[in-house]
Amino acid sequence: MTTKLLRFLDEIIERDEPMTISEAVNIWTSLIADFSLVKGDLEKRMKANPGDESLKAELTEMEGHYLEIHQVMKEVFEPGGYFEKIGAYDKNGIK
Amino acid sequence: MKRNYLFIWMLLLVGVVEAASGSSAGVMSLYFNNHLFVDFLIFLGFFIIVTQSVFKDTFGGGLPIALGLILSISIGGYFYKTGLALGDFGPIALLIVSLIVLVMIVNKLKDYSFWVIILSAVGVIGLMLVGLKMNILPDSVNNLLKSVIVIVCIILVLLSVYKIIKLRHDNRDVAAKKKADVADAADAAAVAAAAAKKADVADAADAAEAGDEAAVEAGFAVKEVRQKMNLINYTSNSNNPVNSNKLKKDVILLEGKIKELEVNSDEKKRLIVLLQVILGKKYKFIINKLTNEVDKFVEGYGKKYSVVLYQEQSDFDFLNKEATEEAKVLHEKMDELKDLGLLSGENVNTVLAVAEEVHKKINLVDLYRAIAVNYIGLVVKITELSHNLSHYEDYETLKNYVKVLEEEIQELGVQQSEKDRLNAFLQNISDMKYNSMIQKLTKKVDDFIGSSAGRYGVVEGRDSDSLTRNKAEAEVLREKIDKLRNLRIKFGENAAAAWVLLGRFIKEKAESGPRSSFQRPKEVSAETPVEGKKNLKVVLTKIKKIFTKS
Repeated sequence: MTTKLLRFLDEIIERDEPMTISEAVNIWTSLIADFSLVKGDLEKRMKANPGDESLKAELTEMEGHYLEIHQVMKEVFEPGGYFEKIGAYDKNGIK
Repeated sequence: MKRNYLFIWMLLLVGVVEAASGSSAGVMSLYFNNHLFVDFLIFLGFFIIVTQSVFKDTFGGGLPIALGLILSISIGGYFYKTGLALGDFGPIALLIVSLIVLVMIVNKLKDYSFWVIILSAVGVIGLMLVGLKMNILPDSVNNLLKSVIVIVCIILVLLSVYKIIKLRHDNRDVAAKKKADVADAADAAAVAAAAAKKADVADAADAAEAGDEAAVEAGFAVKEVRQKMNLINYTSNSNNPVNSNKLKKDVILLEGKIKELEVNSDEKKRLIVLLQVILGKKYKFIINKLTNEVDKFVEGYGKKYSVVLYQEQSDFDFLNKEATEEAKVLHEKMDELKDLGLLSGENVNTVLAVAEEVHKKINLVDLYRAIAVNYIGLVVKITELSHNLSHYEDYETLKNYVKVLEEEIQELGVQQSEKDRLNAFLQNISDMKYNSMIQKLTKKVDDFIGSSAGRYGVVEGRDSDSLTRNKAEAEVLREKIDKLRNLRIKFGENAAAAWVLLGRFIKEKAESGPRSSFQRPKEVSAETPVEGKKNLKVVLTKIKKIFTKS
């Protein structure tokens, strides 16, 4: 989770305009990449310390957050989701 | 009608009086005491009726009466001279009279039920015969039995009288109800016409008024009129084309009712036209609604999904094209519908069938939604794959997952060209993985060679044979690496085999040769795991906040 991503999210929260579709897709793919790195690192540590239950719990918790983010991102694209509600489209396509 | 019944009532009265008196003299003795006068009256009535019916048109009213009177006096004089009486004709003559009475009763009561007729006939004739003291019943039959027969006949007559009265009463109610129904029908028609006008179907209203007048004249029952009113309300209120099945059923029902009506064919035609006019309005309403939906589909959903799917509309617009093509077909169907004449039952069914088909097509929007969601999901999976390649320790797992994704791509409801693009995307990611592995392996081998060669170099001269041997092995290894680099790797068996062979080779060399200084390069993580865990939670919170802000 880079500082850049967190700062970017803060900017979106602060500004008046809602998140755009391309921003959401970028954040989503960025999260996938970041999570895979962090997860990989954690798994290596688990391999090195097989008896360390705290690492396992940490991974489980991380995966829980990650899946929840996944679900949220998926729902916003679905019919009746965030982007449809905010009218992110007009007859010419993306606004 | 009253005069017909008067005859029956007179007979009944005679019979009842006679039976009640119980006298053996009674009417017959009265007749035989005055038979000349009675016969004269009978002949007078008979001849006047006959002469009037024969000569009235030729000689007017007066002459036939005079002629009847003359004939009556003449035959009365003849009976006086000869001493004959009509009553002398005996039981046979009166039996004939009884049969005539029976026929009259049946004729007059033919509108009543069978049992009323039977009861009336038996009662009346029985009373008449008994009352007239005909010798139908022999003298051996005692008076008690005769009295019982009379009483039975009286009961039968009273029963039949009761039934007749009851039936007449019921018929009066039915007639009144029918009259009221006709009035209701008129009211219903007026309401129906008003409803139709309200729904901006002025033509239908006019036709409804005209048609309903015809319906009233023809005794069109209130049920049918109300049904029609419901249809008019249906045409003005219903906005769901899916209900066209109900409409079709209503139409078929009403058409059947119209055909069954006992009116002339012109009236039926008028009603059919009325029905079709109303239906025409409904079809136009349906068509307009469908047209709007098609327009919405064309202008909105097609483009919208192309944007969602590809982010850059210029890159891929096949869905947009597909949607446009679909919409074009729909519009053509709409034009066909609009051109159809709506004045026959066949066209009605055609219109409804096509309308339903069109509506199904419009449901493609939902299909596109589903495809879009699937597509996004697949793209995400492939993206995940590209970032998680390092998790795949062996090629078999990777290959299997790639196969799963390939199958999902094939099942996706998009054009083949788009499937090819996704496959290419997947292939590129796999190639990336292979290239990455090759690079990693190369680096490992280089490190191994460098380390070994360096170490061997340091000890050069001490063990030249060993150095030479290791250098030669290192050269072989490098050749293999070069070959690997030149391999065309495609989801490949080659890459998997290379990975296995190289891994084994390095392992063997590392274990059998001098101790290698090779260390696996440390992979740099963007964040420490603790920060990652913490930040993931923060990201989740922030994302939720963003998506609930609006």
